Amino acid sequence: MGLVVKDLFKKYGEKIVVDHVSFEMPQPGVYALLGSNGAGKSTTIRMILGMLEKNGGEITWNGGPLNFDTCNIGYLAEERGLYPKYTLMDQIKYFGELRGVTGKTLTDRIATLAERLKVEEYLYPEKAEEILSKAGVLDTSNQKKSTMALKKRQKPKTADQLSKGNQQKIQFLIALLSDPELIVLDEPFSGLDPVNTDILKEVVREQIARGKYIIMSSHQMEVVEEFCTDITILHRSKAVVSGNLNDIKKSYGRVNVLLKVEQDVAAEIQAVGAEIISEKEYEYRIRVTGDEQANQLLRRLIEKNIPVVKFDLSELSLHEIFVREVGDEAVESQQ
Amino acid sequence: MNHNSKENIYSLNGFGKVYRFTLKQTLKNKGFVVAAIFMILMMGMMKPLMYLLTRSASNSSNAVSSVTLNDIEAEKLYILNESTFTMDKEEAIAPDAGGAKPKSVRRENVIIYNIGDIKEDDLIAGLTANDILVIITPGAADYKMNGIISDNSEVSIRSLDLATEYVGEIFRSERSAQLTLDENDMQALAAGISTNSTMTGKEYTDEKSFTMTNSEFNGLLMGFSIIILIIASLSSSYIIASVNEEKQSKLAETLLVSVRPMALLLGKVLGMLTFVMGTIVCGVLMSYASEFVMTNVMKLDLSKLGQTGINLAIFTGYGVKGLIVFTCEILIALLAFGILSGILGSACSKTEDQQNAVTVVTMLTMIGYFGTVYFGLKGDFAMIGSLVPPVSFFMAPSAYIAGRIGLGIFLGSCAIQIAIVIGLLMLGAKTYRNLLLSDTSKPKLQTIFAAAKY
Repeated sequence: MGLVVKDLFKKYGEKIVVDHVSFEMPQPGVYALLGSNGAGKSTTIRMILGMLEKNGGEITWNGGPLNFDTCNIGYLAEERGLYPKYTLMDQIKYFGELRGVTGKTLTDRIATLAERLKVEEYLYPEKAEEILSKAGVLDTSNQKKSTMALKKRQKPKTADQLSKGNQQKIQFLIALLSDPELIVLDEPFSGLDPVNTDILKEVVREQIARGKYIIMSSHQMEVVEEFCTDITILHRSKAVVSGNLNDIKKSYGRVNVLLKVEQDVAAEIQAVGAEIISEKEYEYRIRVTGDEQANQLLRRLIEKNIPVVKFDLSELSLHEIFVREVGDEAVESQQ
Repeated sequence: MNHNSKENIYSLNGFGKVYRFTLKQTLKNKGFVVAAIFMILMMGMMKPLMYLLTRSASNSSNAVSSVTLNDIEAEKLYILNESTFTMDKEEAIAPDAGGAKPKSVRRENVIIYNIGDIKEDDLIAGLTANDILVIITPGAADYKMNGIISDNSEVSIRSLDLATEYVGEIFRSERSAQLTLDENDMQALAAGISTNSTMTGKEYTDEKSFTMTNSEFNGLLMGFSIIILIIASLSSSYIIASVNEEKQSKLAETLLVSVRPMALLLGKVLGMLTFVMGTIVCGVLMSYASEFVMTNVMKLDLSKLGQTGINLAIFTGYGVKGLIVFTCEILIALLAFGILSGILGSACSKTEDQQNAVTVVTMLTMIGYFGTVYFGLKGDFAMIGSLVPPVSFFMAPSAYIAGRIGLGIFLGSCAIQIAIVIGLLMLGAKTYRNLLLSDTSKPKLQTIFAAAKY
């Protein structure tokens, strides 16, 4: 039965912040919650996780209540946080124990995730030498001279000694420590460099392959398209679009044409009533009303013996759907 | 059907883990540890410092008794006694006194004149360079010892001072001997007298029936109140700082998916309270250790210090009943102020807000303390003070031990206080999560109550 969110409602005083939002995750996969800043994504997530009391609606997990007693939940919050002055291992173990993972299981999971997320050198500073040498980062030729540096490297690391990206990976590790059934990732890739983004994406793929329920909130539409099967777009506390991503895209029709030719064909495009979105060196991005208009354009180009290098008819991207539904104000607020 | 029931916010599951982690990390925190060591050392040093201060004071007051003729460097010591008490050399000065040092006054060179024996001017005029004259003059309220030397004197000022002190002491002895008073009588005569003119017949009868006098009761009341005031103030600032550190580190959300707010709040508060109480206990042990070293190793006489310094006299001085009553009461009070501090700490959005939160707790403890002082001075108000919080936290145990309130009132007071602790815990359970998640909250009571609505 998975996760069912039905008529979720929340208000502060007279201000409604989540207005009867509903969605379902009947089977494992990735569900995206999209929306501009202040649309109600984080409030919805907090209510799902039981951190905020709702004023109405129902949240069920496999037909029963959803809380961390009934479901093993992993959560990467939008507001990243670690104790800045405590050692990383101390706090990771603390969070693990709070989630009920102890002893060898905890140690093994930390080791596995540290290896997958490439943060071993921070969690096991005593092995840092070996890890860095293997990675070819450390020059061991001056080993005798660098005893002090070695000792410094071997001191347990605290969170404030890590870059933001590495802190984020540690938080991601914490979220996965209990091997959760339901993983909630609020902006998981924001602020990460491409290398670390790929590392995290790989771990997310593994979790999907292992049949986990994942709720992802993100502003990065390409990431959402890469992972998500179902989405809800929130706008001003309401769900404006909700459902399977493919079905949603289909419902908007195939309206994007990418045309590459070797001469100016603007007149031909306008002649069939299509709209030119952009043009660069005879590569046109065109908006058509549907398959019929696209076919009409292609026929016209062939009839006029205009060589067509590329003609690609596609659905709206998620970004375009988002902009269409939420409007420019959301794009501005995101920027 | 609403599946997300509200019952879970009061769960204490995970409390032990939060408590252990808080305590462990506090003990690893250099700032907290340095502050604790400093406090322990201060508490340990209190008795030695008090001893040094007392000795310095008693040196000046007891110097007379330790001065002998051997300390005074002069040829002759003349004493002109103008008081009505007759001084006799044979009685006043021991036969073996003086002459032990080459330059000191010998006993045979001490000449005493009583009033009428000689004219003052003649005596002064006859002084040589190595002579000292001490004139005892009766004043309106005391006797003055005037030390006099010749214009061409070679006597040191120190010897002159010692001579006046020496004469003062032998005059005092002579005076008491002639009044047939011993040392105890003299001390009794010199002791202060306290009056209690506002006492009615009923009050007098009541006080006679109490287990301790009003002044003893007030002493106990102040002693216990100060203990609570100090520990509550100290622990509140630690708790507020610790909770706010967690909030500012943006950890609230990560924590709150693993542990419920009440367990998180209580674990944090008790962890910090354990640290503070541990510091205080170490300080008390340090105080006992320093007293042990002073008494048994350095062989110092500490009898004049009395109960000065840090000790557990309040807890141990009233039997098992006192121990239980004071221990339980201090735990209830610290829990109440600790939980309130935790809630206020969660309402702080910035480091600057912490001071405001500390002020709120300090204000409440001060109301409790000064209320206790006020009610303590009014006999009939002990019962009211014992029932009205926050005064009751400070007053009830002392009032019960002193016999000012009965067991029923005391148990009623405890019930009210425990209800307050539970109420604060429930308020914490309802608000702690919302306040931790809020970036704009302020450490005000109205903010806290408003947070309970959501």
